[in-house]
Amino acid sequence: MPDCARCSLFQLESENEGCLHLNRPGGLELTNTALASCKLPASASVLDAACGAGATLQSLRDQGYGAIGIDLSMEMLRKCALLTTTQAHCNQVPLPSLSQDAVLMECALSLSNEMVSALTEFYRLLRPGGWLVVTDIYIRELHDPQAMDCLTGSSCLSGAKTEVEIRSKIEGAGFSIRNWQDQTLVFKQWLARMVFKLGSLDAFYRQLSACETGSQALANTLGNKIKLGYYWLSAQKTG
Amino acid sequence: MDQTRLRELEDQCIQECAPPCAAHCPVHVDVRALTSAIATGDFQTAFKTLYKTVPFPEIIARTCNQPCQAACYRKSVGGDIQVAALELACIQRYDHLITKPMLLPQKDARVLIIGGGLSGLTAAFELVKKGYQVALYERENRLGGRLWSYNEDQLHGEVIHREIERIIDLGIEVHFNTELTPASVSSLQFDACYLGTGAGASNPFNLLTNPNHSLQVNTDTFQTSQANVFAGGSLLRPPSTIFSVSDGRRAAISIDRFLQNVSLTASRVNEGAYNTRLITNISKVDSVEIVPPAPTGYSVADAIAEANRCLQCDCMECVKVCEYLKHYGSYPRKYVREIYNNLSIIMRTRTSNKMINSCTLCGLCEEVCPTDLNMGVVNNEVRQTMVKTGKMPPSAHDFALRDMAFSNDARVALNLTADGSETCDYLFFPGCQLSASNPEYIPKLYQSLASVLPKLGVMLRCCGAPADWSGEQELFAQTMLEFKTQWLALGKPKLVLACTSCLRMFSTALPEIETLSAWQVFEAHTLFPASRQYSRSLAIHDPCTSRYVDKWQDAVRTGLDAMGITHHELEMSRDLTECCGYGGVAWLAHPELVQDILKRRASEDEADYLTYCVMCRDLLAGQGKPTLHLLDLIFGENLDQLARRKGPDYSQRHENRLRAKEKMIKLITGKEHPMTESYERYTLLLTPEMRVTLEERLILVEDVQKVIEFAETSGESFKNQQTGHTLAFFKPNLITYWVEFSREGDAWRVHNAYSHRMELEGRAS
Amino acid sequence: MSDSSLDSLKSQWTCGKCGAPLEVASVNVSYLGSGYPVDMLVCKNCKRPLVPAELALGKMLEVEKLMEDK
Ligand code: SF4
Ligand code: SF4
Ligand code: SF4
Repeated sequence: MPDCARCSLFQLESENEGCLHLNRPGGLELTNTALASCKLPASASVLDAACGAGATLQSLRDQGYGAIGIDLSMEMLRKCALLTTTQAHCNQVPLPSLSQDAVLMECALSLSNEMVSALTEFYRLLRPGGWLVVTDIYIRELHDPQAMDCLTGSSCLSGAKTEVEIRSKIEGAGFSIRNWQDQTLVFKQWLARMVFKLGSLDAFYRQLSACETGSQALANTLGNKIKLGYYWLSAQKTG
Repeated sequence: MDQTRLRELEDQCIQECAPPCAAHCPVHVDVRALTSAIATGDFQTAFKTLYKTVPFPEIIARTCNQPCQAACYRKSVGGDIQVAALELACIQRYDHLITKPMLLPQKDARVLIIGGGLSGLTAAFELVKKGYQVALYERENRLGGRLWSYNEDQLHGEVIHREIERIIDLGIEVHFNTELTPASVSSLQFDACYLGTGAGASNPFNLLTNPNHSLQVNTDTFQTSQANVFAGGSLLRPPSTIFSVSDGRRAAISIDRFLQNVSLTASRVNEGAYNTRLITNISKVDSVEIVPPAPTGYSVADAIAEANRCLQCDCMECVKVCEYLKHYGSYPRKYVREIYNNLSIIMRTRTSNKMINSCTLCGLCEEVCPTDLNMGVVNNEVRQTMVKTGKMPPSAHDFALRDMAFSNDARVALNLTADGSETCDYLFFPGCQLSASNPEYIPKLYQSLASVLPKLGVMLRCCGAPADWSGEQELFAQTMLEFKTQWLALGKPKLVLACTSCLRMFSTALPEIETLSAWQVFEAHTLFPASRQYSRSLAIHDPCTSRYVDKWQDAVRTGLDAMGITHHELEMSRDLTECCGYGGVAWLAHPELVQDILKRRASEDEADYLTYCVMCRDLLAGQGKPTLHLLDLIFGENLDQLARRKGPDYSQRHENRLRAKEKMIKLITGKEHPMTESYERYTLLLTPEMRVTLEERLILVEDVQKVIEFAETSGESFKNQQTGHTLAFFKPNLITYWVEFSREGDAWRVHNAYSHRMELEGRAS
Repeated sequence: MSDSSLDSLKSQWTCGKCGAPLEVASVNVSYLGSGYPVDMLVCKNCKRPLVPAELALGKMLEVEKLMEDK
């Protein structure tokens, strides 16, 4: 689960242009499209796992859902003062089993190094037929599997996976994926904004990467060997 | 371009097919990998390669009848590779490396093996590895069957014992001195049985037989008339140790499938010995004689020498001759897959547009490919699909397409008959690049042709090749339609061409039009000037679009002879000729690759080159290779200098097309036709460095002039307080051009010029 | 544009049409249907934007390539 305060992008950005987890590619609009695909009942209970500063949470509330948010960072949660939140890790959520109609995980699933245990926890929380909604970065093209090592050095991309891996992990946890939509264009627009903000993609990679040599390697990797994309998916708890 | 078509294309490339040795070996020992390891002295890896497929390596190496040699490509160039002796050389050094294989968890099913010969032992080995309970019944008091009939020098009993024991030790239950009869078999518990009893043995299951008393056995699955009984080995065929191993293994696969209750027949291609589709070209291979092993086996040096004779058979014919295919480090089978992924939406792996756009579409690959796979056709089709589905990046071919639009603009194009009449019998179509490179040759060539062809008209425009090469089908069709309309109006004249790319376009899109080359006219009417001289023999570089166009190729050679020019052939000439890099607009997608293509071509012969395409000439000369165009020999002075001249830059090429038009109008109508646009009043002062900058940034002089004209007439610009320079922009179409300039007398000095495609939309809200 | 380079451009260039000084403004630049606000210099009166070579051949080119790369 991401700790935004420790992410180098977070330090870089001001509040209105937050880091990847705060100001996500596609924003609320994308979240709402993904949620709409689940046709949740009015006043459904929705858990926002990794709610950050609460923008989505607020919108869920405004739409009439029973929305609860969790995040690891107290700093973040303080910004959600008027919302129902609690500090928790997403593989140990202090909520009863079978209590949620939907769990939302935005830009955080692959960042969690415990993806499988988080999915198991969501499975526990959801009612039968309940929905898991995910938006995230993924590896759209992988030309050289060894290049994956390079991502580990960066704070935000270390857990990025391919579509096949993501699908198999989610289905392996007992969900059936109902929708998968590539949103790479939205991600590129987001990157383009970063280029204008920071001067170049290279500068962006430097921010992502812990050290100078790391940034070189990362820039090369992302230029030639790995192409990142962005998606949303909705999956239903089966069985 | 759909999935089925791509599958077919993929299959057309034989590069991944097995070499004949591995295909003819019934257990498919990877002989190529084995020899490749030995060739580097790595006997250990070689041994592992062998042991992977052969559980009794030494027995096999000492007894194999080597079906692998049957089709060895070395056979006719020195003699087939001594595979068994090389195998033995590895075993003698490394058989201590054999480790116990991994066994799968025990299953309940029990398999009976009748007969302890090689085929039965192999079946037992394979099944015990899969976790089955295996019980083996042998009539004699020892295992090995026919193996004991070899003399001791060839196969010592000690070897037989050692290699068989290793397998029995995996947990096979063995019953010696037991010949099974229908009665004794019926009392045994088993789920499946393998019968490997050799020829003439008893038939304990009363299985159906053929009229000659041999068992009825399915040759693909080894199943007998009783569903759970399988049979193989020398009861089916003349004895061969390697075929016995193969039968045992294949029957074991069937038994496993039978017991798992899955199809016995599904996807069992290329089991056992088969004929491979792989073809290896040995026309350039020198003969090297067999290195025979000593009676005790190969010494290290001799084994390495023999292994080095292996040709490491593969195809790669196209990759050997094409710089593009070589550049991406693989071969068409892989490329086709990659291209498919690139198009596929499901897989979300749209790779490398650049790769698709870097092929010159020259078709040499098809000429050399044993199965006639043409990657140029594939790449062109894929470009079309990309354009149609909106996946082609908009800037990919934009520059070339705008160049074409320029040539076909009413201001630049020309359509004129000799005497002002409406129609003509012949139409001279020199092509836009000849006008761009050498406008001075256009009227000269016209005059020569007109002296022998009655009613000769002229048409200056672009044939549409850039659209075709870019995958812009609609644009190409429209360009052809425009041409055809004019051609019909001119009374369907015969086309006289001077460029093979124009020929290619017309003959594919409008085959009803009769064409001939200017060189054929020169040939037929002996118009080539006599006794021209060049200091050295010229090597002929045929343009890639002249491939298969013998008439043009012949006329050029006749012409050279007629002019008294000594010439010779390049190794890759005529149908085997290489593209200069201009084809397929590859120069736009991948300029560095085109440099490599040119270097390769230029270095193939010491001689200066002669060609009959201006783009070939300009590109080769630009690379430092002295190259003449056929027209240089016909009309030019000072040939040494002409061979070394650089071609004009992009701006000059536009200018030249206008000049060619002026000259033709003057020649035919006698009228001056100065063609100036208002922006041409702005004379530019450009340093050589600035010219290079413009060329690199794909900015034309006319683009710069348009910006200056706009700034000077509208006043919309910025002023630099320190330098006094003016900065202004203008956006004629998609691209916004910026120029920083200052006035110097009657002219304008350009200090900087750049462009962008992003659009300025005014203030953000 | 970094602030310092905007400052130095601002001190050098004025509008050629009306003579007014330039000011920093957010201008929308777009490509293939996606728009981005970018701070650059515009004429105080006419609002015509000035794209320096550094921006055209740097960030803008990079974004063009990014958006074109399918
Ligand atoms: S030359 Fe080598 S690779 Fe080719 S068939 Fe013979 S053994 Fe096999
Ligand atoms: S020539 Fe090239 S395309 Fe044809 S089979 Fe050989 S490797 Fe494949
Ligand atoms: S068409 Fe020409 S450039 Fe393209 S792959 Fe074939 S040989 Fe190479």
